[in-house]
Amino acid sequence: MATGSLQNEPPVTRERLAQAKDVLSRELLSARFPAAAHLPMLHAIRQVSLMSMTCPPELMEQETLRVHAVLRDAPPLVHAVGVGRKISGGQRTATPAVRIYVTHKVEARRLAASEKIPEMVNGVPTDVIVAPPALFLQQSSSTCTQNRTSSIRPLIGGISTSHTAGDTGTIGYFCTSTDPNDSASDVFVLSNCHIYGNWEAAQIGDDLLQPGAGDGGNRAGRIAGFQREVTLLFGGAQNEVDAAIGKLDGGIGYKAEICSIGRVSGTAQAAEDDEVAKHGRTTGYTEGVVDDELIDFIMLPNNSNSYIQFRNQMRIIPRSPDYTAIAKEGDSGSLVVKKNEHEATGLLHSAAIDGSYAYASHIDKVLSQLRIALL
Amino acid sequence: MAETLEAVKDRISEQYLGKAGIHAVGIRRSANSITVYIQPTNDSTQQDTLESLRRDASPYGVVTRDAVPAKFA
Repeated sequence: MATGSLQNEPPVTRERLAQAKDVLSRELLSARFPAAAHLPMLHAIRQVSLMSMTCPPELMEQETLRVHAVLRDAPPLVHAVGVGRKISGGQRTATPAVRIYVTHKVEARRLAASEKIPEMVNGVPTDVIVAPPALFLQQSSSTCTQNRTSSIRPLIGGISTSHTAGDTGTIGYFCTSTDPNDSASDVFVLSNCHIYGNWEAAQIGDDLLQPGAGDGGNRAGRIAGFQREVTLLFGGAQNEVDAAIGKLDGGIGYKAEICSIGRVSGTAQAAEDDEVAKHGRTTGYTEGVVDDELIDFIMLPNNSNSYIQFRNQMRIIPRSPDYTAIAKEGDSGSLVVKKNEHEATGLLHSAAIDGSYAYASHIDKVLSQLRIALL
Repeated sequence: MAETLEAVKDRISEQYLGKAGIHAVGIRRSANSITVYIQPTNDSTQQDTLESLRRDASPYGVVTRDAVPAKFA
């Protein structure tokens, strides 16, 4: 027994305590668990951290339960070793001990012999304490979603933007140009033509703002100059994309990530029933399902007396029951990604006024017609 | 050789989009059918138009859904 052994040991000096701590630290932190073993747990914790600012309580509860499930199934994770008074029955005792901090405790019978933490090390008792691991403090995605209609630097996808005279929408992502007339080193910001194009009136170099004019943005918040668009055709003509780019001004920092989603991992063709996600200026992070992968539709824009027609778009509905709206006015320009893989599949541009569905252009058409590549 | 679902959708779209409250035409592969989105109207010809559409979409089925038209977001 640990206590019996302790009675036969010489007094625990500060030096012995430190040595015992170093022994366990080397064994448990450096060698025992591969770094990859921590990833599922850290990912789960990060998910909760990201969602805590945006989720309704009931969903938050589901996510928390999911984290618990991950932790339960993960290997016993020691994330810190220190020294302090042993805690017994919730009370701090007078006994010095080496403290081993774990994410969770596992029944002894479920542990391999090599995974068990000894009760004594070099004559010093151990104390296993359950505590969450520390994370680097940084501007989290939760911050960007809270501030998505305000000025955010460095820029990130999923936040407010507009032409000085245009509707306010969302920065989709960042890209380079595949047009040989453009410099390969320039970085461009992607959104919709109806956001950056100022209804065909935009000129190269026009001010593009963050936040958008509808959110109080002005020339002081210029981030880019208008570069080009795929012109929207009204009347009977068929459009395949609603997309435009601006060239980022020098000195404007950016992160090639989408708020609450992270970095985009390539592109993929959307298929019926795919689960997707987006982060937009108005509704923030939402998840949806591709309800139709090749839909044609017509609509009458608010400021026009002429219909506009789109061909072969994707229709996305909110993923129920967690989301009741997929997108609303101001979310135009949001990049649609596969929910789990984070591959870009589309560029959102239209929606039902109640958010019950949205339309997005397929990303391959956006890239080819706009002559860009996502970063 | 039978028309593909995509080809029938293109033909139906060209022929019916904008008529009788039809504002979108898509496909549902899992149901092997054309999907037609309609803004309900009092237009008495809407049902006749849909009947005609169903005949033109054959042998594929047609699913109709009520929905408000989209706006730029």
